[in-house]
Amino acid sequence: MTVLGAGEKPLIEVKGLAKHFPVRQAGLLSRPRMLRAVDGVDFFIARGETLGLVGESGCGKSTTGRLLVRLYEPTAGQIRFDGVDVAGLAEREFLPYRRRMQMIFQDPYASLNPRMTVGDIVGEALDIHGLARGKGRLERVHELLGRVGLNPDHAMRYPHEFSGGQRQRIGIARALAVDPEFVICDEPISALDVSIQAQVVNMLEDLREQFGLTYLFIAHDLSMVRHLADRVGVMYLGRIVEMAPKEDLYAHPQHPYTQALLSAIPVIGGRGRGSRIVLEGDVPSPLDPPSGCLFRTRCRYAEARCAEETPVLTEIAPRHWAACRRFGA
Amino acid sequence: MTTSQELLAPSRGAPSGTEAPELLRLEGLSTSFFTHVGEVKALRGIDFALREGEAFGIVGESGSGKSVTALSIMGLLPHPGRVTEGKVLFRGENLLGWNERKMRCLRGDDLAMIFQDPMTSLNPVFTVGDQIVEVLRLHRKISKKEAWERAVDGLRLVGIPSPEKRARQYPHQFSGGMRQRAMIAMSLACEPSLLIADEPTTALDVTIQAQMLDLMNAMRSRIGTAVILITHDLGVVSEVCSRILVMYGGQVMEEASAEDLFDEPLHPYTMGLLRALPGYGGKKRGQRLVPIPGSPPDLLRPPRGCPFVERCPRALRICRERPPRLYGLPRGRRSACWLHDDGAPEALRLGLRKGAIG
Repeated sequence: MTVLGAGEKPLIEVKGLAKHFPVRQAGLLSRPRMLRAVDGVDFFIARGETLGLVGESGCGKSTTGRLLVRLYEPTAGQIRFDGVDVAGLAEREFLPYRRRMQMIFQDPYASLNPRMTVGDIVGEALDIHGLARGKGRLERVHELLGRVGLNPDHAMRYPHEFSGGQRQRIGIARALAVDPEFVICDEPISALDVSIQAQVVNMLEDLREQFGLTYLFIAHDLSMVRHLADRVGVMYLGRIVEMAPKEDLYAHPQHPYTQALLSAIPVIGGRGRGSRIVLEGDVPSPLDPPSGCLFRTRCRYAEARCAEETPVLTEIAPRHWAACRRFGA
Repeated sequence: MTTSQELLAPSRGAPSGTEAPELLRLEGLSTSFFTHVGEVKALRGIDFALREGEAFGIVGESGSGKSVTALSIMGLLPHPGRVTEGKVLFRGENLLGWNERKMRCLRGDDLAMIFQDPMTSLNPVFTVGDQIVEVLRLHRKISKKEAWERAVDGLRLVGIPSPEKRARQYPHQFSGGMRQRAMIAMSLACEPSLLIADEPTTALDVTIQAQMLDLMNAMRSRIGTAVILITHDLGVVSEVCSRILVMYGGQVMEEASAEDLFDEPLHPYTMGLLRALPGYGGKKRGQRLVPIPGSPPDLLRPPRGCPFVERCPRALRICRERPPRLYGLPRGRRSACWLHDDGAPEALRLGLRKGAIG
């Protein structure tokens, strides 16, 4: 497990990151409303560390991942990669950084171009970054396919000829093509069957080891995050509500939302257990979030004060941060 | 046809014990899809039975045949699917011999189903209340007003706040969790004896899924409906069901009580499935997962022997040649594996003993 040493700079440092999407209204003259998908997120990832980001649909975890590689332009905030704020860089200046950070997507069907051969899908990034040409490119593609457990002759085939698990391997080979240091895994296994999930998770672990990769692992499957991550951040309605080393987070969740989320995971042998915290109602719309604490509408500890003050992330134990008025702030 | 009076008789609420009469029995059910590239043998000889009021789980991965089983029971197989062999005995009557008219009377009344995506089963141009009224009036001789009141009651029962107002709204005005609640209210409107729920929580977030599992448990004990819960999630099935059927490649691999299955799986496929999960069976944190190598069989050309043979670490020569039968085992368990055969090598035998999955 990686802990940031004294004076050591994290590979990724995010401050006040926000993304607001304008949403068109019914009326012709009405002003667009803002959907606050990500609303002021701070975190860092040390070199070689795996940070897990969990939360339910619409909490902003995937948007956060996409902001880091600038698939979306941030509305506000800093993204420091190896000490440089890449959020404000022009596309050309950003290109070398994009080589160093890559992404693996959730949907192995939608994320591969059906008209390109596997060889071209994996090799395209080599072309864009001018890393290999001709015979060298072919050799590199074959090497990458081998790394993810596919055969060199798969390079001539098209994505539809592969199963979901194999497609995800192609996506991983593509991400690795440019020798990245940082890989964002956006729900890389949730579209796969249980028996195949373990294959891909083990591969991600091996690659992390072999190439010294740093991961941001985004998922809603809390048990897989527990397996893979060093630290875990929990998001709710565009904000991080709790962040801690995984042992700490799973053993002693502090934020009421994290507590409910963890107790909601169905467990094998959990039939008829009565200890589950069941949250009432649904997640509020990010178009019209509640005032003060975003979680107060479903929180069992909510009181009048929660509607007025917005809680900030506070370090409640070493390296364990939570945003709730019950921990001061 | 059963009347509503009979359905509401107190005996119905009896918990699943050995006393409860048998409700559904599948005998050698085989279903194929006749596609332009050939016959896809989705189900090959499925046998199982469940009793009234029982919570029965079917687990399996995509392509295992669990949804096709449900659609075959309901008589809702899409073209070009067809049941080629076997029986679906509901209260002793073979539903496969029923015509569409008779099936329509049964569906939504004594036999109901909910699907993964509630939007595909709710009509977007009618209010939620009207849709429940339609179900009720189709199967019960009651006035519109009475049906409406029962629809509102039903929505209240499944925990929808301000049900009078919600009943007048359209499905798009409901959130995903609320839609699934409305679907449950609609499917239970006529208090069916059997509810088939096909991945009812897969599209939902965990906190909403927890609400839904609690609701299904509560409704089951209230109405006494037997439930077949179909899912790929071993945790979900473990929270709701007392007995579990494991399917793979269109066949039954194993059947056992929930406790026994997770305590000591007896089929190499179930063992593999559990070992692939993080945190199962005292797996230490940070310990590697044990994946099942390879991928599921192609059902256009199903293997001659056991469908799991290509991925099985304990496969014998016979496994390739001939499919194993479902061996009856102690504690009412069944498992389709040659290793249960008396002639199997002792060293590889699966025994009923603790820690067998090692």
